[in-house]
Amino acid sequence: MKSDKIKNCKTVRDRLRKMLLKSFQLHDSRLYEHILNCPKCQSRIIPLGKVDNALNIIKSGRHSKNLLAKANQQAIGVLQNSLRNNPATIKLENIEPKPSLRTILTRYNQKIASTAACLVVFLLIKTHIFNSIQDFQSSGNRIVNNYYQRQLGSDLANELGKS
Amino acid sequence: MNAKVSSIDRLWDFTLPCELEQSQAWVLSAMQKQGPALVRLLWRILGCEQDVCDAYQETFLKLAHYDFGAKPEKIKAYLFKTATNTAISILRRKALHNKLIQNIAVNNRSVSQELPDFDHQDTCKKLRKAVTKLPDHLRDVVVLRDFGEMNYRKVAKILNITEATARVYRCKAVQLLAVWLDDEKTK
Repeated sequence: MKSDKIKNCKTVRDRLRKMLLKSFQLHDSRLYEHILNCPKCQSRIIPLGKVDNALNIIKSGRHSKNLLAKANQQAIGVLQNSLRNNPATIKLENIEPKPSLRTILTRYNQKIASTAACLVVFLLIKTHIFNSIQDFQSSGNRIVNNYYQRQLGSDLANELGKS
Repeated sequence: MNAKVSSIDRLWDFTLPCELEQSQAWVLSAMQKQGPALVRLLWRILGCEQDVCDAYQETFLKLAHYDFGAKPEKIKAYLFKTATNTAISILRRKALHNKLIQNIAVNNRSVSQELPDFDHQDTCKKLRKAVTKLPDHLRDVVVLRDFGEMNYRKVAKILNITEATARVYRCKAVQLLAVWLDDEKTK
């Protein structure tokens, strides 16, 4: 019971945090203006930015393609004889790093998004949602037309309907 | 009786390599599964190919000799922790060596070259040096999260802490690193 309560509190806190983050976006111009004019904030944020930059530089550095194979060869060299003679080691000694599926898919992000959008439109057509929207619109027009006919007469109502 | 004992011994000698091969085959599968991520992590910590190979070798050697050849309960956690520790100790050794060389150079009054305002390599070097100075619990989170590119859930699982703790540790670590990098610049 107690754990449930804590779990609920956690979810509430999480949602509150997300709501606050949404309402207080970092791209807020007021925030930028304040930082531009406040030396105290600048002195706190600039070093953090430097750490972030350095981390990004380190992340963007690429090693040579055969480093994994080289490291595997060196590591296998100190393992037991029985392991060194294992057929699996040949594969490990010639292995090359492959990008993850996520990295490969990022190239095709836009294509995937547009295909998904097409599929959604197709599904909407299939489920007759567009037809019901049209029905709703035409019945709305009819009601408005009736109202004008009752209030202004058929001649004026027809003119208004045409315009 | 003696003949029976010797025949059992011979039989044992014959089966031993086979058993070892079977019992330690998980080392190779761990190498295949975690190898690329480990190499990437080590490369980001060390920035030198030979050091990466050395740290990688030491990590798997330790894995193969863990508890007399027994398989650790959480291989991934064991591998990443060991690799991080090995890499950090290599970095520390290097920093000491560099300090020693600098002292010798100062004693010999060699002319020092002035560095430009923002030097990428210098910044990375300083950051790596600062990471080695971090307390263990903060360092592990930064290394796994930023160098290993793992999400907080994975980091928490490896370090046996909660996700929220991992977030707090990372925040503290970045603040400390920022202060230290700024201090070095002002010096």
